[in-house]
Amino acid sequence: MLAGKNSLPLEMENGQSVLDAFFRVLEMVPALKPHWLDHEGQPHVFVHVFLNGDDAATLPDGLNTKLNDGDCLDFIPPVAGG
Amino acid sequence: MDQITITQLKESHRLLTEFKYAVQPVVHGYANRTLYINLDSNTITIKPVDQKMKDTFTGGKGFCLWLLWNAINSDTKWDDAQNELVVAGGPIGGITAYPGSGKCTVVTLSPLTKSIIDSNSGAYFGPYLKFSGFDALEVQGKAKEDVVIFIDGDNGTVSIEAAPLDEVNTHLLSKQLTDLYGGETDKGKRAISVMSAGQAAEHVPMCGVNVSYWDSRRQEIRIKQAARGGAGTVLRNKRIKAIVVKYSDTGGDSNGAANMELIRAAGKRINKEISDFDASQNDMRHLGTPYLVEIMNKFNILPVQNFRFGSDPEASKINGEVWKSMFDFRGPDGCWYGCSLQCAHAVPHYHLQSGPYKGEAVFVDGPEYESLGALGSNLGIFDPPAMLELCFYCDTYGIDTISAGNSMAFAYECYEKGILDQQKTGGLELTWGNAEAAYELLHQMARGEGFGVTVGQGVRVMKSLFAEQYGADPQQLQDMGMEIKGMEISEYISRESLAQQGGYAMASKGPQHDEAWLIFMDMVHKQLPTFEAKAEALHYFPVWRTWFSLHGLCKLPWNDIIPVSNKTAKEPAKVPEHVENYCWLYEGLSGKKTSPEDLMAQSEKVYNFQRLFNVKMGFGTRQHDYPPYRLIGPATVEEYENRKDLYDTQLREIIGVDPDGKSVEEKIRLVRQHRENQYEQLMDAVYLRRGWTKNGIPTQATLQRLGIDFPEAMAISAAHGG
Ligand code: SF4
Repeated sequence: MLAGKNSLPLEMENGQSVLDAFFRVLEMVPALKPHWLDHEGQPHVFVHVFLNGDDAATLPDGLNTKLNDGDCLDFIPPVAGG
Repeated sequence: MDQITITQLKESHRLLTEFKYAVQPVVHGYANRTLYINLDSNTITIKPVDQKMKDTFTGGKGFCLWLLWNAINSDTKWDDAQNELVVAGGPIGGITAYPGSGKCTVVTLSPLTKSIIDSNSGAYFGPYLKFSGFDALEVQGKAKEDVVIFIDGDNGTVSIEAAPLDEVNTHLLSKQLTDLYGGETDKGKRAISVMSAGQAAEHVPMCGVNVSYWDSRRQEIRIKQAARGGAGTVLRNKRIKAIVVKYSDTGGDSNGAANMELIRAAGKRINKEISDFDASQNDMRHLGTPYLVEIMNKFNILPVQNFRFGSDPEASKINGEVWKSMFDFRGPDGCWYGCSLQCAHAVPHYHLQSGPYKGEAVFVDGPEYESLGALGSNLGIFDPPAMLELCFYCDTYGIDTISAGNSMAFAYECYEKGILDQQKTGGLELTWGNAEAAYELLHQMARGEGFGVTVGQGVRVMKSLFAEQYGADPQQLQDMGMEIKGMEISEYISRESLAQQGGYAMASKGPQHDEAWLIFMDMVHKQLPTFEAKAEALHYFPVWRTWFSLHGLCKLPWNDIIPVSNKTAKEPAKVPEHVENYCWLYEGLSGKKTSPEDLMAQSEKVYNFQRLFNVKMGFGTRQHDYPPYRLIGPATVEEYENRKDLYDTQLREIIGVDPDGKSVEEKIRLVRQHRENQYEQLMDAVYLRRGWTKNGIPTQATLQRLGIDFPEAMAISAAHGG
């Protein structure tokens, strides 16, 4: 899910990380760049990346967590509830 | 029936009493007076607001609670003439330089919970009431005939008028009264806000109030709701058709601020943020709260079929993108002047399929996420036109969508389980996804007949009725009846978030998420790993969120838009930059140096006072803070099987039991034992953090620390072991 809207398959090389996938998605969908990147070209504070349902920021290696075949990434905006 | 003309309507109104007063400017956010109306005697008076009242209760909900506390006794019932409907905006409310500043709060003794409830609404009523000269409005007594109360802040008059011919349902009544009191011009209509309920409020306790404003760009009446807890039922019980407030002269400095520059600085900062980042974040300006449907579904939090399941493949049919394509973007969607977040969307030209207005094209405000959860996924209905039909009729009849949706879902599940059948439902087939049956239940609530009236009593009443009359198992009904304190639970599944279970069950008025929404912090971002961390969150966030209703503010601009500074914030969940904005707002208004701790102190007093008020009314103790088991864990085999891997893993890794070879029933029992125990420990930790006894009573030391240690409060605490 990309900001709750779409999904796409990602082909990644062995050993690549969640962060690599983040930038790979931006290469494939450049229209997302102004939404996802801050002025230093880093992920915005409000883009949350989930790896197989877990907030990647809470994993031991954070956004540097290595990906495996079949992993599912979600990119979610900040959710505050109603 | 032909609709009557405005001239006929005017002629039909009979003046019962009129009260004149001098309109005074608002100073530092306060009108410094409240308005008292007694419908038994048709008397109207003004009460002063002194500094002590401001220092102790701040305003808004705090004032409402204090006025009601002084008006009723511990044995007053919701339908006694002595009960009051109390309405207030708040000191900051009414500014136009900062988004979300037009809310009002309604407080009353609830027909649903039988205790104190508060519910807040957008639209123009709160600011107009204050600019007309009143920090709060109390209505006590019962009229002998149907009346409209008209507060004319332009001319300094308050009148009670017999209103025999006015409509009751909101979409017609708001229009009639906007035309009657506002005249034909846009300027005139914009000066009017109408608070009303609808037909169903004459028959069922789950009705809220609608609050209107005139949308001149679309030439439509818009409505927002203070839907929760039954304030609309109280309104109609007092035979009030509507309360109308008129004020024409709203300006940027109507609040008499001490330092407008500071207020403007806060507004400038957040308005830039919204303009820069809303589209990249939640896109509230185009999706509104329905953006949540897809995300809640993704995380197994969307209530499906009476909260049994947390997601459904069909949820995408009612998600934000669907509504975006239907919303009317002809004009701005802020529900008060200056709200740049503009999430109050609506769908035009919907053709009704049922009921008294069948075939008519109507303008439907919303739908909001809560309504989609309650009336959509929770009933297994994933059809946008059906959502519009249900939302429209709930609103115009005055019915709270959350209470209606959960009550219907409970009845649908009882039907599935054989507790109900067609004979008992009067021929209605309550099968998941049956939208026509849901329409009919609403129409029955409005007509006061049929099985709809039973459903309209709410889940708590149905639980005892079905046990007594149909021999259903009370424990089973308790586990699956999604209410706490008599109020239906708002639309988030909290099974995997212990903190949110507490957020719901320990909330003062009942399970409404406006007090605490901790699911993502707890379950998703894992920021609350210990009981102490959860207890701290269940201290901070309910107190902080209460602050908004003291001031007539909308919570959404606090954390539905996130500033860049959150990247380096120590506690990003609190959104410190926005808390600083609120300090600037209060400081700008009052002229007093203000820190975040000052804001929390305002709120903590009122939060504890409300708890004590519940105790005074015979509620508010530990026994009232328990959720139904389905909110805590899987209550049935199908719920366990639906997330078997998760629960089996938890059994193995957290509870220390090998699930292999065990029956599902045995596994449910083990999970239940563990989770109920966790909930007990959470209650202990939260009560301790809040300064309450193990029975949930604010201690006398807490009351002293907060400066709410007046004799009656101390006596109540002492009498309950505090
Ligand atoms: S954020 Fe939405 S609900 Fe809140 S005041 Fe603005 S338009 Fe109204």
